Amino acid sequence: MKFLADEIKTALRNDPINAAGHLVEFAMEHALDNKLVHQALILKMNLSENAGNGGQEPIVNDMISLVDKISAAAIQNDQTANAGASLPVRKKRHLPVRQNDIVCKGTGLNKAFKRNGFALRDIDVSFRLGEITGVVGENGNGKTTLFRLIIGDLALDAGTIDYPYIREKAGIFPEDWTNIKKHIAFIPQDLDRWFGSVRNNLHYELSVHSVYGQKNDDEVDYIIHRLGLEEHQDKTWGQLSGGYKLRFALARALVWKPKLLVIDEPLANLDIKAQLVILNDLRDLANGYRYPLSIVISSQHLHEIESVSDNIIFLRNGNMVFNGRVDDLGNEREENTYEFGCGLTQEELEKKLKGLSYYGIENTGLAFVIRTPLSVTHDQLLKKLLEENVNIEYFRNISQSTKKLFV
Amino acid sequence: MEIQNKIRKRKEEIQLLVAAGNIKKAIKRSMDYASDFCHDNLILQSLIELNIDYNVLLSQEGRSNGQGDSFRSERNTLVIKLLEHLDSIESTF
Repeated sequence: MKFLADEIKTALRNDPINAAGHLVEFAMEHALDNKLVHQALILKMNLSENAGNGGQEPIVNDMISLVDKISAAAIQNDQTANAGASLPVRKKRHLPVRQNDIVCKGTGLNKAFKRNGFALRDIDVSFRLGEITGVVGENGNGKTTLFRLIIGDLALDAGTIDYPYIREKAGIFPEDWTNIKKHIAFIPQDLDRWFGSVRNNLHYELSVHSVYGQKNDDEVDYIIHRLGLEEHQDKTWGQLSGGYKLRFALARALVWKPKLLVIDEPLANLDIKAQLVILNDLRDLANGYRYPLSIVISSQHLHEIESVSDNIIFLRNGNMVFNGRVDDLGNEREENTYEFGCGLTQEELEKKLKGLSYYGIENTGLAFVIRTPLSVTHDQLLKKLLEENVNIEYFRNISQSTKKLFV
Repeated sequence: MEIQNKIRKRKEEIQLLVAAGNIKKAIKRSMDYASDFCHDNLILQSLIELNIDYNVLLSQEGRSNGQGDSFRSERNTLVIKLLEHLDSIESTF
């Protein structure tokens, strides 16, 4: 203990910014009094803010004295424990273990439209509690049709769809759509206009789901603050921007704790920062302990959607091209695929890449997509481009992304 | 044991957000933490009030155009309150 404490103190004197992280770990691991952990966290936060403005010295001194306090208390505690004293054991409470976490399972889903000849064919899906499933594909390839089947808005031509977790939890029979739908929330791409204020609509939504009184007030307060709507709670439809209209739609869908949330193209009209906030919130909320849910989300923003999804479904012309874990994307590929932008013509680029092994280069109009043997890594390709003085505007390895299915 | 680990991990996640200075996200995740693991609604209400206070502090700071000592001191007081709530939720679960 003493040796570790001395090491951290030395590191704090030499490189405080990096060593502050070690202090936090040290405090979280060894401090017996929570107040000492709080001090470590706040000192680290304050140190980062003061980086480069000369105000670090007093903070570093406080950090060093905190290391001494933590280690002294821990050493003293060890001595007491060795003398035979026993630590109090906290009583543990057990929450019920989840038996069946499949919220929705569709097998052999088929739906054809005579009007335009489009058909969704033989789709198998399984959405689990706590997971996010991203559904990707170009427009008109069946994403919205799939969603409407899942939420019970369209009748199946063939196949079966079941909601095991919802049925088990609520004691519902398989075909009892009225009750099954009470656990499914859907946010369409085009949001319907509503009347009244944000807050009143949320109260109303909860009362529709039989939540009244104090509980209704508490849940509305929580969702308003959780989704950052506190400054907009008294606004009406016309007073909200597109991003906040979506936030409200999310709040209205989540406030009554659905088990399945289906969202059609939510990122379409959001700036990058708003997209990230929404996706991070969805990730956190899906993983909730008391009220976990399964989220199914469609989007054209492949990189963003893959970054938060556990599973990806790729649809093309009504067929399922890929359905699996995000981590498994491209596992069985036979080539690498890279996408990059530069100011060259294809002919110029081909000249620059002479000597590098590749199968083909495609100019998509916005970027080049190059397919190479698996032996050509992104490091090697980047090195080659830099050696040839190519001005790279951006570069992305799409070998394990659904993006390569689009090109 | 699994649930105890989950509670501990979620608390550590929030503590690290605080250490990184990401207070807004730390408050959001604390609300989730309270909603998930706390049966005492007063703590969630207190976290909501803390969120309101932090928003006020941020807007005052925005108006005064810079991070002054008074901002830092008030912010640290709020953060300590938040961390105490986390401890309280963990210890009473």
